[in-house]
Amino acid sequence: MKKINDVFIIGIDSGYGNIKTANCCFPASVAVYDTEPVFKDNLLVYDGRYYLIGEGHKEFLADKTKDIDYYVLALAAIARELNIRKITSGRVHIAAGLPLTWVSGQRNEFKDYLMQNREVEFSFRGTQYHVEIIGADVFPQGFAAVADRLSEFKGVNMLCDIGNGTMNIMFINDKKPIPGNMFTEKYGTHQCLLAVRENVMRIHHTTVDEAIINRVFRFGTADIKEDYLKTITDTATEYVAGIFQRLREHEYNPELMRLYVLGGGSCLIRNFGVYDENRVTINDDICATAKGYEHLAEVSFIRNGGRL
Amino acid sequence: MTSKRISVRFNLDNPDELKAWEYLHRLKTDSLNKEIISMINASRQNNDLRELLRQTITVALQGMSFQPVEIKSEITESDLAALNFIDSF
Repeated sequence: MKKINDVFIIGIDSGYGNIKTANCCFPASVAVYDTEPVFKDNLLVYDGRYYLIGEGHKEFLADKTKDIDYYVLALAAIARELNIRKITSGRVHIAAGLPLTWVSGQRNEFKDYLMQNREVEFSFRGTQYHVEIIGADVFPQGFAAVADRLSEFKGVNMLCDIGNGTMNIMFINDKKPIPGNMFTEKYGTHQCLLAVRENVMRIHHTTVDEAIINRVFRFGTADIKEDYLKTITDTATEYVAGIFQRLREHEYNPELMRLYVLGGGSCLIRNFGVYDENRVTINDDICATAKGYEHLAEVSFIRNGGRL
Repeated sequence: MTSKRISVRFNLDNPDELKAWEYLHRLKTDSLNKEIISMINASRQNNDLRELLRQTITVALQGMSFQPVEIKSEITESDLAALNFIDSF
């Protein structure tokens, strides 16, 4: 969270798997109740309804404005950031994003969605919040994470942001992003998770807890029997090979360009990919994009002579 | 004249006590007695002053909250390239 004058700029990276802010990360899932639920951990109360943040499973929606979930998740993200500074009210400017190739088509709609109420009253984790949402910016995902360090991108660079739902690809050549050469593929880590489940069921006739799969993704191993681990790692290796195949389809040539990987899926490349470490950079800060949104909102503010 | 006497024993196997013993014997003073009394009083004064400062700062900061104020004064060439790219959408 950044503060300019009396306005808090809060970067919110609304992914399909997790919501990330500059300082927090929580699952992008919501369970809604009309009456107060028994379990109140991460309970958000808004407009007379009860939302358990991090519960249930959110299906992939290409249009994030189709239901109220991403709005409620944005409120939870604002509360998490304000809570760090022990603040419960204030003027907020949201800095958000969309997949690279969806920005131009969905930016205005997503902005309106985030700003559907100027004054918002809600409670989260038992604390009452009153915020005034004075504005919102919608930036391209992935790119935002490196926007403050373009000077490091000398020569030809492919940027690959692997999220839960999508993979975004673009080029930054000689410190300048290339507008006409961007791709969004529905090949996020959720695809890998589904493939692991399917293979474990096919080979071992059982299901494996998602927490174990995510642990293998993140660390390359887990405390489970060798043959189960092998099924998971083999599937992850295949998925990473699929990523590199898609990159090559978009003209990735490791001999002629550098590759910069970021997003929640970057750990899969690190653990299961075969690559030249000198020519591939992996940024595994999952909050990098949210921090980038805040940076872009800040420099945009300066360029506009102090107007957000 | 009312005078009281205490004796202090230094265990030279204890590093703290050895340090204090060596310090006392490095002092160039006419009266070790006067020097020790002066050190005790100075130490009391320092403690009182520290407590006073702590209380003053606590009272002064009551009700205040700290927020980061991070306003960049200028944008770099790299920032401009980033903003131009965003404008292209």
